[in-house]
Amino acid sequence: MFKIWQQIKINSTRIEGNISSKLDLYLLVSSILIIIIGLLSIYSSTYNIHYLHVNFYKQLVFAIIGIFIGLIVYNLPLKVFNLSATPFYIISILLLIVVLFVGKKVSGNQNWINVGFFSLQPSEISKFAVILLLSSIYSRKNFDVNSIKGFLIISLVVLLPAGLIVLQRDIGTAIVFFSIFIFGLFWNGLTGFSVFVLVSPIIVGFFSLLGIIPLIISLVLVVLVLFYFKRELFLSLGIFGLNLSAAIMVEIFFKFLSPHQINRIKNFLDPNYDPLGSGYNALQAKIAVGSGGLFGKGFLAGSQTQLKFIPEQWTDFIFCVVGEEFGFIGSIMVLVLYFIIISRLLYIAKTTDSVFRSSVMIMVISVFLTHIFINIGMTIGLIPVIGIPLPLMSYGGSALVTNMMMIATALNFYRHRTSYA
Amino acid sequence: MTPVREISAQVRTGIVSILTIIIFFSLGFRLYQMQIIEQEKYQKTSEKNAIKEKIIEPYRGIFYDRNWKVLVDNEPGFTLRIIPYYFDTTVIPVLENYFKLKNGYIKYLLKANKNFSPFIPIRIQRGLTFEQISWLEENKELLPGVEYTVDMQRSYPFGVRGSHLFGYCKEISRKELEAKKDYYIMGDFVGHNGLEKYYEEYLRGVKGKQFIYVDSKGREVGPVNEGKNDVKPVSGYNAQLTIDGELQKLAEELLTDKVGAIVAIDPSNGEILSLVSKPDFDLSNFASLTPASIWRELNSDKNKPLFNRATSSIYPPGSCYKPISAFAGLNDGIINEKYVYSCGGGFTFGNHFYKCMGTHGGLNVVHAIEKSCNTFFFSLILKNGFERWTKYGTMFGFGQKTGIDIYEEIPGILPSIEYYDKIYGKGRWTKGYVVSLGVGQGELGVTPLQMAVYTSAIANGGILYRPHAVRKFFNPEANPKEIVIPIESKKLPIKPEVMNLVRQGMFLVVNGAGTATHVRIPGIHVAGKTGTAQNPHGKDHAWFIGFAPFENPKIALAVIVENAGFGGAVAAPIAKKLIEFYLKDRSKDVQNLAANKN
Repeated sequence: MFKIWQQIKINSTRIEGNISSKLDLYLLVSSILIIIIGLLSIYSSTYNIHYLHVNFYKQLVFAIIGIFIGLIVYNLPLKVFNLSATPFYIISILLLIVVLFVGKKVSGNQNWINVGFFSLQPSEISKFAVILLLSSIYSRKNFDVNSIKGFLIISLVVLLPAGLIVLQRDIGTAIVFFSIFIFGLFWNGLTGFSVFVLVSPIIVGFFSLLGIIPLIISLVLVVLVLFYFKRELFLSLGIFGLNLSAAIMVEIFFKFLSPHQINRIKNFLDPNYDPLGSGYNALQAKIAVGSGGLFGKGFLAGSQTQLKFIPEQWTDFIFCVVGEEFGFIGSIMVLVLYFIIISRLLYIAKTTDSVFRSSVMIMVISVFLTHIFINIGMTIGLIPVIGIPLPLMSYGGSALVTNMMMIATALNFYRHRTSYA
Repeated sequence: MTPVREISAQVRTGIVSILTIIIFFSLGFRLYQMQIIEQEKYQKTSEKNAIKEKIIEPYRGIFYDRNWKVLVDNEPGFTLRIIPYYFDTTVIPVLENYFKLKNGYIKYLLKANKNFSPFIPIRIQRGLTFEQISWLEENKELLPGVEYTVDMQRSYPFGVRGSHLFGYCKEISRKELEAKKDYYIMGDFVGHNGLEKYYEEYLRGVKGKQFIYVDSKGREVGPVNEGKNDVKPVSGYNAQLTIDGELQKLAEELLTDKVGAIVAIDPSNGEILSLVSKPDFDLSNFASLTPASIWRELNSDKNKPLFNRATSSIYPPGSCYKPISAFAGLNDGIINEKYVYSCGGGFTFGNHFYKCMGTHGGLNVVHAIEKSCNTFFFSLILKNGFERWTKYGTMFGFGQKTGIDIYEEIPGILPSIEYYDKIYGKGRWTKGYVVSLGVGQGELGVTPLQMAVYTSAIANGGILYRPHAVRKFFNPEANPKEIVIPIESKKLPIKPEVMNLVRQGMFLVVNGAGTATHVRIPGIHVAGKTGTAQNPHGKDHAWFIGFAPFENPKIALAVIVENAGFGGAVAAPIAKKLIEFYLKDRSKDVQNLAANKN
């Protein structure tokens, strides 16, 4: 305890010089701007639905709560992050189990716990918990990601919550966990070949959805890469077989998906598959964004948004509001802000000398990057509709507060970046 | 410490950077493609070919009576609506002038609805004429956001008013909308009271959906995909009521200009034959938008015509309640048939003298009911004890809701030891408080419906049925096709010989030397009991309960007329006419009717 106190004292004496050396203003200001744009979008998307006006105020309250929690996180001594990793992880796993039994369903997924006046979504919080525990493991002495044991430990830590989340039928969040898994391993020295083995079946599986020719092209690419690595023949054949079976697995996997997920995939492949049923959201979302044009239709003036063509727009389809009402300029501004956030996180990941902090940062990047890509990608028809929120923008208290905690952690690490230098 | 890395940290950072740039570039490029290059295409789709879901209202289920006469039907009507978002407020004077609306009425409605989406239409006037429709069609271009729709409204073809029984529909309230927003939308009509409310979910059906293209002004352009994606509405269930339309009509006529209620029940199954509360109101005024003047009139009437007296008003039952004491004493063996109490014109308890209506001398329980001797029952409640009296009242359904399928119902008041402890305080009331309960006065409060259910249980020999006004719902399009309302009952633990004694007493009320001998009907044995409910605010209320035929009862009823004095004089003759009408052979009338038609 005394040691921690000393640490704080040392740190506090070190904070001198100009403000930018202790506070990452780019990261802070970008995040705040994104939150404000998110709040405006929620306000607009619920403007015509009187009983949902409350969503805006709820989100505002959560943003304020997020600021308080963020301030605490920002001021925590560095050691606390590593120390709290295991208990935080255990709590989040317990919450995920609880939600399986008492959770309520929201649009096909079952991942909320009702705690009186608001609902808690443990899957959001568990992302950060997994990141901390993984980083803590990576930072241990003698830990080797390329050993079987090391790989298994990492896999287990990710699979436990990811499995519980798949049981809640929340595929989007499970994909985020996979992304955390890959980024962490890659950052901590997993060989390029191993990364290839892990990622290639996913890519082949995705291409198999598009049809037989894309599948063949992807398989040819796999063969070429295998030649490049020049491993033993049997291993190479095995990996090729793995890729082939992934394509077959996708077919089988289809049967395990709930009907609403199958429909989403079918709609992605053929936007006119069911334009008024399950493809309705995807189509209307694209119309909303596309019709925004260069300058947008103006705040509260988007006919797609205000006529409520897109259901539940304030959650996963929040980017439609930006696209329609603020146009290309607004959309690009949001992308630029997100790009600044990711760049700053990457800068912190790169410049810190601590494996722990560096790992936390890279996995936070993986969360943001995956969320941004999937969410905006589905809104503009780049990928199938997968329901995950847009970080710091979508309506939802658990996600907002968790994301703000991650940003506050980055700011904290930035402030301490010289402590080991 | 750091593991040997195949790829240097520098390269790894580079790879993550490149991946990030690829992701952001592809998103940005796609946005550029959609919002700049293809903007016009999306803009057109958004403006000209926006798809709007239009709701098709289902046909609300209609009501038949037990003999398949249509009591409540639907008829189409044209409704004038405006959609605030497209509406041009400068045409307000033109509209108000043409439709003869009050100055400022539209502005008032717009203001009242300004918290709702401006895309939700506001109803302005219902029941438009064809002339008005063609005027709207002619001036369509000059009246943006003004439209008319065809919707169904209730009609009452048989001439039965049934104001409190059927109930009416009304625009959904904000509070109700919040609670049921998964089905209803602003402006929906929902059952507001009576059967319409109780069975709302059966009657309403399921809304259909129609997908139509609308232009940027919200005007409908045409169906999407030739209507292949439309969802047909499912009509609501039609209801066969247990009500006898003709009897109901007669009951309503008999209470004209009176204040009171009538409930008639089939004692063999709890089916309500007739349920009337007066004064009432004309339901057809509620079929469409109700003019404010009618609301004001109904709300300010001191007799409260909107209030359902049959199920929601409580009165002391007076002497009609005496059989309860008789049941309690006889069934638990406190007294028997031979037990005689002498009436000397009243009953003294403590220093208070309770008057009887006559000087009856020695009476057993049967004749005490026949003569309605107060003295006998003042003494009997003390002999039985308060607790037993409450127990038998509860047994016959007093102090609790009957469970009728009309939305409005109150449980009434059945005093008990706990009740007196609560209102007077423990130990702060004496037996003297109980005495007047013995003749059905005091705090005891019953609804006319409860009285009818109780009478029906005496008529059928001790089975308490849940009263109900709907026999079954049917709809060939729906699944299930038919929903039969189950008959619920409980057998009361009354010994048959006890039941016979009480029934005998009630038989003599009409057919002996009792209080309602003028109710006798040639050829039909009627049994009953008169009652007078003391009214501290004015003239007493008159009660009559009865059933017939005595041997095999087919109808049991309760009649109350407010401020009519003695029960035998006003209430009993009404009951007589109803019983006579219900039991006589009506087939002749039907034949006559057919003959006249030909």
